[in-house]
Amino acid sequence: MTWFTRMSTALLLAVGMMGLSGCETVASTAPLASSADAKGIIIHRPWARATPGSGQNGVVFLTITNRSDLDDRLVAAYGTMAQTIELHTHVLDGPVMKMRAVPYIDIPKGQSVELRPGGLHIMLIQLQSPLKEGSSFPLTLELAHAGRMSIDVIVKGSAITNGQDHTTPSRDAPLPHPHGH
Amino acid sequence: MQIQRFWRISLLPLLLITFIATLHAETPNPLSLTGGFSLMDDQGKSKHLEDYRGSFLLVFFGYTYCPDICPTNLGIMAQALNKLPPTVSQRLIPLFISVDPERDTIKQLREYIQTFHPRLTGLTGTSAQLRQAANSFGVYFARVETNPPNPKHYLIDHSAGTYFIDDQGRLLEIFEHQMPPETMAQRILQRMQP
Ligand SMILES: [Cu+2]
Repeated sequence: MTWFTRMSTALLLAVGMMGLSGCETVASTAPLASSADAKGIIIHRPWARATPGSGQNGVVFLTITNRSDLDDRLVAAYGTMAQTIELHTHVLDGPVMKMRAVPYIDIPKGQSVELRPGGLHIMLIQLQSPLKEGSSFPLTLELAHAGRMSIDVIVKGSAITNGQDHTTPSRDAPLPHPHGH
Repeated sequence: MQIQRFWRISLLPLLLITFIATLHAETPNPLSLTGGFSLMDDQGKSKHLEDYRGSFLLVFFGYTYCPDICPTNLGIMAQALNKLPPTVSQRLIPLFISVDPERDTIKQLREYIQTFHPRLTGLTGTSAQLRQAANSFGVYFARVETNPPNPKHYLIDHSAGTYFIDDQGRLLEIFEHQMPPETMAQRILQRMQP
């Protein structure tokens, strides 16, 4: 995973920042998509937790729906807001919470996978600056089949406990779940 | 035959219920602190567990580089506090103990906790003091290196429960990670209301 992140960071540096503002240029095979993708991958409600104080590490949560007829997987995330970006999960081992990097997150066809507090997340390590509530930042997701997708992540409150806060209205209208998830 | 059948049918659930009840009743309070702590608060003052005698405590161990588990549980703690009647919450002090003295300065700790609740107090100390405090509570914490190791990017595995201590310094309950704030408030109320 870390190898992947390093490689992707290097790649990102190599192509400069055009990967973010002009994602369509980088991913010529995958058209720019802010929340929906022509290949049937839909990203719902991407949000990050505001980092308290001079918070150095952040997390991004979102739900990925795969409406294509191919199993897919999230393999990486790229952005400029942090030095390192990894895919992580949480494992509760007795009373002890362990956060671990994972090489990918499977998104089986016809299913939705939720990245949420206490579970799977996109980990932002060593933020360039603290994430402030109400702001947003771009993030590029890479899926094995669907390719790259550029999304806008909204920063919500630090103290959100389940992602269902009512203090910050969700910017994206909730999308229907056609598979009864 | 009929009677035997009746007993077999009705006795089994009864026995089961009794068995479950016994399980609960026979669990003597296994929770106890094996010691206190000697730490420094977010104002730079030295604090001991005994200094809080007379108040109930909610204690969470974590670190400010913890991006999700700590904010979630501190958020729950804050919400639970706000759900309690003021007469109860006034007698309850929320504490956050940072087990990452290498990266968490007093200033950073202060800024971090202020985000969650105005009454939340941050505590930290030397590695030895923190190890001793964690041992008193039966709390586990261990540094985990990233791959490849980066001296600034390590993570810390840590117990994710919230420790509820009474006004005599006795451990009452450990609230599990992500307990709904309503449940936490109820359980606190049960113990604190006369
Ligand atoms: Cu993480």
